[in-house]
Amino acid sequence: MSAIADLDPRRDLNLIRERIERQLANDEDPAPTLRDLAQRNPIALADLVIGPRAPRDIRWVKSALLSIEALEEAIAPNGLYRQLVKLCPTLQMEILELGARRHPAASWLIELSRHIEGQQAGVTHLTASSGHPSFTQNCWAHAAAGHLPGLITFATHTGKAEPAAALAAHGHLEAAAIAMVRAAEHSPDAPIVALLTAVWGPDPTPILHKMLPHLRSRDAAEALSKQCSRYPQFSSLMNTIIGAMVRA
Amino acid sequence: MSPHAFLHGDPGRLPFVGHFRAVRTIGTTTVSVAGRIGLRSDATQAFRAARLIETAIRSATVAPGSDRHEAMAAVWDEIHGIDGCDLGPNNGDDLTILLAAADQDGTGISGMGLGGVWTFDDHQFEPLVQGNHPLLSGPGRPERLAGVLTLDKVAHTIVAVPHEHRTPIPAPSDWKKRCGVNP
Repeated sequence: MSAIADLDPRRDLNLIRERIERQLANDEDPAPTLRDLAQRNPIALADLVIGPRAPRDIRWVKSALLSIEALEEAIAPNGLYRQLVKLCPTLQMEILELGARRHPAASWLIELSRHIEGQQAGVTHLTASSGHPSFTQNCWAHAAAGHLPGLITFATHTGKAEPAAALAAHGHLEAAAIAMVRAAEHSPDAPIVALLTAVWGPDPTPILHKMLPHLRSRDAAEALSKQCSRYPQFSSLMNTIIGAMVRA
Repeated sequence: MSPHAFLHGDPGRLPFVGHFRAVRTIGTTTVSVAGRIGLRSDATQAFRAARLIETAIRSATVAPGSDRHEAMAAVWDEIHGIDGCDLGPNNGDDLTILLAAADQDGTGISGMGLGGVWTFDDHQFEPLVQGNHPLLSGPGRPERLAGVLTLDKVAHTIVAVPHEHRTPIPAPSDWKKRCGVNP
């Protein structure tokens, strides 16, 4: 039940804040109060969630995430999500996931991903946007930002070819080669070499050669070899290597 | 000195969808080819078609002692002989191609679907043709090439742009990257 039903959000902001703090101190669920506020005055809600005097309590922020639409009505998403992370680092992954789901094409997610995921920057954003039209653009943006491990991890977990293509497009050739091999290990039929060629140019053999030290699965090697069959010299080399590999 | 043909990439994140490049050398005659097929098809389909064309170029039946005209015709016959259904949804009607052939007596240029052709002398690009020259034709695979432009002087690097590009003169600083030529 809302603890502020009798108050006016435009006039009684301090009182509302006190009642919320009391609710939290008494270990009461703040969600009904928050929903009430979200319905009646999103700007007051935003002030009470990310304003300078907002209650610093994880339960409050967690409840606020359930009313994210109302918060976005009051504050531009870019600033909102950054501020939420700043206020409640414990929930930063949840906040990033929410932001990536709601704004898959947003460029501010690149920096926020780096801030939150560190070395693995991009995994959450790309996972959330993998079915969205902005997916390719996002791979390019993370590659441009130098999020190499994140792109490789994403390729490893999904078998998508775009991370490797994005890495190649930005000159990260070693990382592109690793992403190609990992993608082939997950999804042997993914159009990895075709996409690489579309990005890089008709002769991708310099990158193809870089894949060789990273091959660890005969199935993946065979899949890549099949895709490279029209590059006779490289294909021949691959077949020699495959011949020496043990099937897992 | 053998000529090297290059085709400018397309705008966007996937500039080389369906791009191909191959060289066929018999004795002192060389045919260098660069082009694009299946622009509107998906990357995989265009990739297959492009590799098929490269294979056709490399395996073209060029008789020993052929001059540049005969070698170029042999390469074109091989490309023309590819079944249209293997060349993407337009059956090869969207083929853009630049052929540069050289023998002891000179260099010849031909192509389809080109919007501009330049030579590069390590410093600057010089246009080879302008206006309504037959070399600047629409794309496709006619039985015979429109014609061959014979160069007065030796050209090592020949760069073309596809007909639909409103591309300015290629820039000496980044033409390799734009043509998908990587170290």
